[in-house]
This record gives sequence, C-alpha cells and structure tokens, in this order.
Amino acid sequence: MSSKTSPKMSPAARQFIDKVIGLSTSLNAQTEADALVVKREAAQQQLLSLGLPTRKDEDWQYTSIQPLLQQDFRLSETVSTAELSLAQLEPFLPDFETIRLVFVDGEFSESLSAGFEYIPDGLSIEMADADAIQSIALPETADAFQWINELLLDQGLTIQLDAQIVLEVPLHILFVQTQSGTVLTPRLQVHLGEAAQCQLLQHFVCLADETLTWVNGVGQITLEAGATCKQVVLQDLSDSSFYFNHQTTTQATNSNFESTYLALGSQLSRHHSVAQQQGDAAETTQDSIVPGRDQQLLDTRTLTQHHALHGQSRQLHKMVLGDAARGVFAGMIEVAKGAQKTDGQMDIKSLLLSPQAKVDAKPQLEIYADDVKCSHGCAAGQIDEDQLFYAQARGIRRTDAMQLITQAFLLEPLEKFQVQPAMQAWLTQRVVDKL
Amino acid sequence: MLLSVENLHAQVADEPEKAILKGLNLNVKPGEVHAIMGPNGAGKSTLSSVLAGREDYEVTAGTVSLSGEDLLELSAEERARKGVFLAFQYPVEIPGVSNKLFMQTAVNAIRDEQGLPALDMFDFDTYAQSKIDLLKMPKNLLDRSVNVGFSGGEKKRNDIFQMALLEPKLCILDETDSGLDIDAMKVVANGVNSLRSSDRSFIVVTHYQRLLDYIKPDFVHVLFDGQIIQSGGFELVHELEEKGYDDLIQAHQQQQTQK
Repeated sequence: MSSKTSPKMSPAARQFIDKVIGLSTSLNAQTEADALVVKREAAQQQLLSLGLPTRKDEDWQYTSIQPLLQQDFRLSETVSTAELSLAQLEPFLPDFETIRLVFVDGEFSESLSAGFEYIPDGLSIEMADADAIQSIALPETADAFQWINELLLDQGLTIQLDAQIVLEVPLHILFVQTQSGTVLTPRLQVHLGEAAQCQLLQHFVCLADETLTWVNGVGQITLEAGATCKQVVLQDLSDSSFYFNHQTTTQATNSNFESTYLALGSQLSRHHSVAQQQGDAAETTQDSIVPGRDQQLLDTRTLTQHHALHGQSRQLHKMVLGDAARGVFAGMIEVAKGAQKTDGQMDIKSLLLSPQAKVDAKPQLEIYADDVKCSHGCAAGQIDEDQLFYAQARGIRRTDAMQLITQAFLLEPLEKFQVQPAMQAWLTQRVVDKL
Repeated sequence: MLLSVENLHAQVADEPEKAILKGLNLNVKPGEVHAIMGPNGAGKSTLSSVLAGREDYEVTAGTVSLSGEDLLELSAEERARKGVFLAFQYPVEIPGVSNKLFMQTAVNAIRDEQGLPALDMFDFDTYAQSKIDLLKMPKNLLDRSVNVGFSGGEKKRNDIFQMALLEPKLCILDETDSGLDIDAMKVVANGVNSLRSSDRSFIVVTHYQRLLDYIKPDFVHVLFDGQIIQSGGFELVHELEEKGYDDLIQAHQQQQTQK
C-alpha cells in the first residue's frame, strides 16, 4: 500500500489504515458503480494525507483510539437474514408502534422489518442507492473517521419526507450486529420537506454480549422551513464494541431539531452532532445521556452554528460515571456575525460515583454578533450528601437512595423530551437497565 | 421509656476542639411532647442531627437508647426504620425524584422492617390520599419532585406529610417553624396535633414560643451551651417570653464558676 503522502504515524496507526484500505479495495472489486469506486478512492487519499488522530490533536486530547487500533476488523459476510428470528430481536423492540427498518450486519432485512402500513404517501425510504449515497459530499473539514466511512461506503439509507407530511409513528432504524470483528459503516440521509414532521429512533445493538463490532457512521439530516425532527440515537452496543458517529443537521427557517443521544454501550465511543441553523428562528436541542462504567470511554461532542436571526439552541448533557469510566464532552456554540438575537445555552452536568471515574468537559462559545444571549455551564461532582441523608432519614437504604438520585439526575433530558409517554417510558427503561 | 439520652457529648466530626453537646440528659416517655428551646448556638440542631444519625457529628461520650436499644449503633436509615423521624429545618430538594416514588420507597422500607408486605402503586395511592385528607394537604403534592420549587412553607408541610405517612414512634421537629408565616405554622401545628397519640412522642426544637402555643408541649427544656439548664411545664414558655434567656443563663454560669 502506498502511504507516501501520509504524515508521521505510529506503526499501529499505519497498519490500521492499510487494513482499512485493503477492505476498501476488496469492496471495489465487487462494486459495479464506477462513481462509488471513484468516491472511495478519493476518500483513501484524504485518509492518507490526514492520518489517524492522536492525543496530540486538540480534538482528541482526551480520547485515545489505541484500543481500536489493536483490533483487526473485516467486512461482514453476507448472511441470509432469515437465519435471524424475530424472537431474537425481541429485547430490542419497543412496545409502541413503529415503522421498523432492521439491518442485520448492515444488510436490510425485509422479513424482520415491520410497520410498513404506517408509511404514508410522501415518505420514501430507499436503500443501497448509489446515487443517493453519492449525493452527500463530506466537507473538507471531515475527520479520519468520516473518510473511513466513505472509504467503506457500500449501502446508504435515504429517507425523504415530503412537505407537510407528518409521520405519526416513529421510524425505528435498528442495526443489529451479529458477526464479531466486523465494521459497519452506515450512511444515513434524512430530508424533511417544508413543515414535515418525524420522529427518528436510530438504534445500534449487538445480538450477543460477546459480539465485538465497530460502528462508524455518518449522517446528514436536512430540515426545510418549519420542519420538525425528533431524533433519538440509542447506542447500545456490547461493552467490547466501538462506536463513532458524525452527523450534520442543517436547518432552515422555523425548523425544530430536537435530539437526544444515549450512550449505553461500547468500550470506546464518540458521537459528534453538528447543527447548522441557516434560516431564522430555528430551534435546536442536542442533549445526551451518558452512563459510564467499567473502563468505558464515552465521548460526546457538539457543534452548534448559528448563522441566522433569532435562533435558539439548548443542550443538556448528563453523565454518570462509575468504576474507572471516563466521560469526555466538547461542545462549541458558534454565533456568526449576522446572527443577532441568538439564544444559546449549553449545560454539562456530571456525577462521579467512584474516585477512579473521570470527566473532561470543554464547553466553548465563539460569538461574532453583539446582540445575543449565550451561556454555558459545567458542573461535576459527587452525589449530594444532604440528599442522601434526607432519604436515609426516611428509612431508604443508602444504596437505594443513590440509585434513586442517580437515575433522576441522569434521566433529566428524557423527562423533558416531548414524545409519546410509551416511547419515553421505553427509553427510560433502557437507561435504567444500565445503572 | 421511649427515648433515654444520658450525658451526651457530641462535636462536629472534623473539629475535635469544638464540643457542642456537653453532657445532655433527656428522657421521653411514649405519648409525651417535649419542647427544646434555647438561644442560637446552644446545640439545638446538633441534638436533632445526632439523634437522627447525621454523620457530620461525632458522639464522644454518653448513651442514647430507643425503647432500650442503643440508638448510636444504628445508621440513619436503621433509626428511621425503628421509628425515628426528623422533620428538617431545611428540607432537601431532590430534582427529578417524584414525591410519590420517594415516599413509596420510604413507606415500603419501613413496612419491610415491620414484616409487612410492600404497598404497590395503587395501595400506596389510597394510603397517601388518606393522609392528604387527614392533613388537608393539596392533592397534587405527590406528583411533584421532592421539595423542588416548593416554598419554605410547602417544604415544611411536605415533611409533616412524610411524617404522617411513616407513622413514626419518635418525631423530632428541628426548628420546623423557622421562616414560616402564621398560616404555614398552623399547618405544621395542626399536623403535629392530628398525629399525637398515646404511643407517639415528639421533640419540638424551636426558637419561638408561637409554635408551642399551638402545640402545647407537656415539657419544656432550655438548652444552653450543650446542656439542658432548665426544665419545666408549658408555663416555662411564657416565662421565657417575658424574661428571655438571660436570667437563666446568668444563673447557670454562676453555678458553673462556683463548681
């Protein structure tokens, strides 16, 4: 493999890149669409010139990718998805109505999917469409993991909701990983026409606790004027897995994007949510719920770009870290010169349950307009002893009191998430099961 | 004897040079209501905290027993399970935890101690409603987060409601009347009065005589410098109101120097 143009890299990083390029090459051999091959090859050049990030890079200061580099990943083998029964999926299925799209090792399974009767006219769902995949161009600023997504791009999911269409039933996109040692590179594109509304539940799981997988996704969500999208990203991979996801949401006038990321699994994860307000009076919510335990490293980042007038953005990030878990947060609210009357707020609150647990949080504001209201707050601490004593003085055991208080602390973003009660309850239970 | 406190010495856990209780004696029989008054810094809140088991305080000498059992050996939650209840001077806010879940957990913890089966959501609702009616509390009290966004009066009221739910043997009210307006004070007093019974005792710690006018304690004690320097009946409240603590304190200090 030629890697002449690449910067100085550790042997492990170089080897890792070479393997990924090898996977891409084998993919190219099976691909008929020339355009896709060209795209992958361009991504390869990008990756080689960029190299893999190290902790010397500012954006990776707190997040080491060494555990990922030690793994040897391959592409999933095509399996007959009929081998998987619906009963095996039961633990991952919500108890409320959804339009369910199931992907087994990246492959769409029609037999496991359901709820097509809820698909209205004006909703189109397309899979494996090379043209659709190509329509998303990664920005020049894309990082190594986004380029890897493109390098291994094989199947995309494109969801288009026409203007005025309101999707009543949530769209549950379930990625089930069954093959250990494989990499999944999902590419999601969602387009909401004017005043369209939908709820998205993106859900990543491993079929068995022993399955070690690497999800490396890229997403693009576009909201036209007045559109509303409520998104939940439920990352519930096995404890040995890796998760990297980078999503960009662009918002037109009066649109509302409300999103909650739940980091429930993986040994190393990094969820990156970029929101760009391009039209006036747009509203953005980027919340997260991060319960960490064992040796997990859970990284959450946001970039909120206000480019227009009267924009509002809210962020509430909650982490509860036990054992030797590490939580990382970095968030930036950018207010462009003309974006007057912007109202932005970012809060990061963490509870540390053990002396070995650690949190690194970096909230940032960059404001070029003079008439804005922006703030950020960051707090990390232990459980309030006064709260514990109050509960104990009522006869509640200390461990039970800790559980009550921790849960309530962590679930705050879900409490205010305006979705049907059944969905709220189901998501709550997913989080509670991890505590 | 329900509660027997003998020669109790206590200090703030990290400050050994600063003794707060210096040989306190107190006996409470079932059904009795005792008031503990005294100037600022006398040790009133320390006494409440030590009895309830707050770990910020360290007992250096003396004994405390509840129905003959050594109370000091027990953790705060065990004391609560045995029937000790502390109404807080400043009830604590617990964001996100509903009053209902909090109190259902507490009631079931105490039922567990008594060998009774846990109440499910519906049985607990019925039980809680009966207490809400008894105390004439607002119906929505259970739906809110524990004390979050409550006014000072509402917090105290919530503590009294919790007391009614847990049906303790010994209720300690730690300056429950501080910062209350007259209406809220009446609610607290009515709560205490409606929970009075021949087998439930109260220790009412307070600065002011006003709450005691409503509650009418059987015994009144004056706490100063970590000791009870005077005990009497309800009439002592009005004596203190007229003369203040000064005479008592001076007499006590003279006695101390003579020793």
